[in-house]
Amino acid sequence: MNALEGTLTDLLVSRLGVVAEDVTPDSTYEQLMLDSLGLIEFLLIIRKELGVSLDDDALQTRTTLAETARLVEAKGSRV
Amino acid sequence: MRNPTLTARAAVLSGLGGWVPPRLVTNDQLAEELDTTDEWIRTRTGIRQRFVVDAGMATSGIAIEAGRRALRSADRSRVDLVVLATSTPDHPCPATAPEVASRLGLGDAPAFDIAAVCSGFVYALATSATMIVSGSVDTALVIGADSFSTILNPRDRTTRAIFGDGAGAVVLRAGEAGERGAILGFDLGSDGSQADLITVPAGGSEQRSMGLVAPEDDYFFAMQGRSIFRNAVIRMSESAGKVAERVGWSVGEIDRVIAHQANVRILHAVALELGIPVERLVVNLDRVANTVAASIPLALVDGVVSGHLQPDDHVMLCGFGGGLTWGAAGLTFPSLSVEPLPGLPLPTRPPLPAALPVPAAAR
Repeated sequence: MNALEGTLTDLLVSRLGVVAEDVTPDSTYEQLMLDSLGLIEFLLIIRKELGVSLDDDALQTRTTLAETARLVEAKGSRV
Repeated sequence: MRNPTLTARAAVLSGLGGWVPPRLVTNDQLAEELDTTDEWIRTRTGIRQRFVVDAGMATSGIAIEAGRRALRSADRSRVDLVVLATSTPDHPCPATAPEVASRLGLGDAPAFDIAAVCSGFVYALATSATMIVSGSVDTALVIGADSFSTILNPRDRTTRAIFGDGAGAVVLRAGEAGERGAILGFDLGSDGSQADLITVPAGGSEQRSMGLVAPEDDYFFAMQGRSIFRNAVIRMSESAGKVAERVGWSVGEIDRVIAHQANVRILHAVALELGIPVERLVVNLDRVANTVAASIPLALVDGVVSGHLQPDDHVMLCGFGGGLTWGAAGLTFPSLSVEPLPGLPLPTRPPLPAALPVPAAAR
């Protein structure tokens, strides 16, 4: 897991109640049991904490943590 | 010498009332006719029940009940102005406010509707307060009322779960900015490029001008939840932040946030975005659901009755709705005598439903 994936994991665990041991770079949000609103909540958390605005449909239930990290990186997060 | 800022003419909150129709619909009752469950509705919205109008009761009827209670709360039988925020008027034409004013015995006071969907109350409050500050009128009755159950698609499990009917009202009077209850500042905004996120597609001039009958579903209310969620959180937080700055409060000095009661997860996200503890939110959507233009004054009623809202609290109202529209208003809360909402047990303090975000493991 790289640094950005680690940061995203910390946010999922501390803000959305995801169990830390469940999270790997290949975890999908479906596997982490985030519902559709949970995906938007996570977008808002990423926006506030990392200063990166992803599109409303950027995160889907099948999106993985590693894919999310690449999306955030492409938008210029330096974390 | 008195501080001229504190003696400036201002609109002061002097009465508050709310009303919901008698017919209660619980989540379990909805689940009997639609593919949904109490748990699904509660975990996604925080809503446990809603009240809906019976056949024959229109928005004017619920607006009058709330207006009467607000006038009683203010100990006043006359006002100079009646403004009704609604997007479910009794008729497309004329406005509903004149009928409400007339049936309340308010004579020939000017009366008009404001349509800003769930932001309607904040828009109406800003308009009325500004008319008081300008000296055009000395008192105003501001009502937010909607009977959204009348425009929902009976087959739509999402909107049927979210919305309820109701009305809330406040009385404003001319006073001074240094008084308790003075409305200290506003922010309003809109973004029509996202008008299609919240809409009743048919029934207006656009569809009628084409001379065609639209598909039946187009006559019902429709919304796009995910985009609305993000917009609601960002717009309400930004608007509240602007008002706080305008009235000279730090975010930490905001004692209570009464945001449009759309969804408890939106409210929690607003608190997170603003950087305030969720305990400072006044929440009553678990009791009455999303009542559109009525939601902020109905939450004020439950806030006062529960004791969660106290005199001298720095209170931030913020709304967000179709249009898109949004707005916020800041005031120092006054001491008010307020009747509890009919047909409901007294609200507990603080009236918070399930703390959210829900731990994923429990979903």
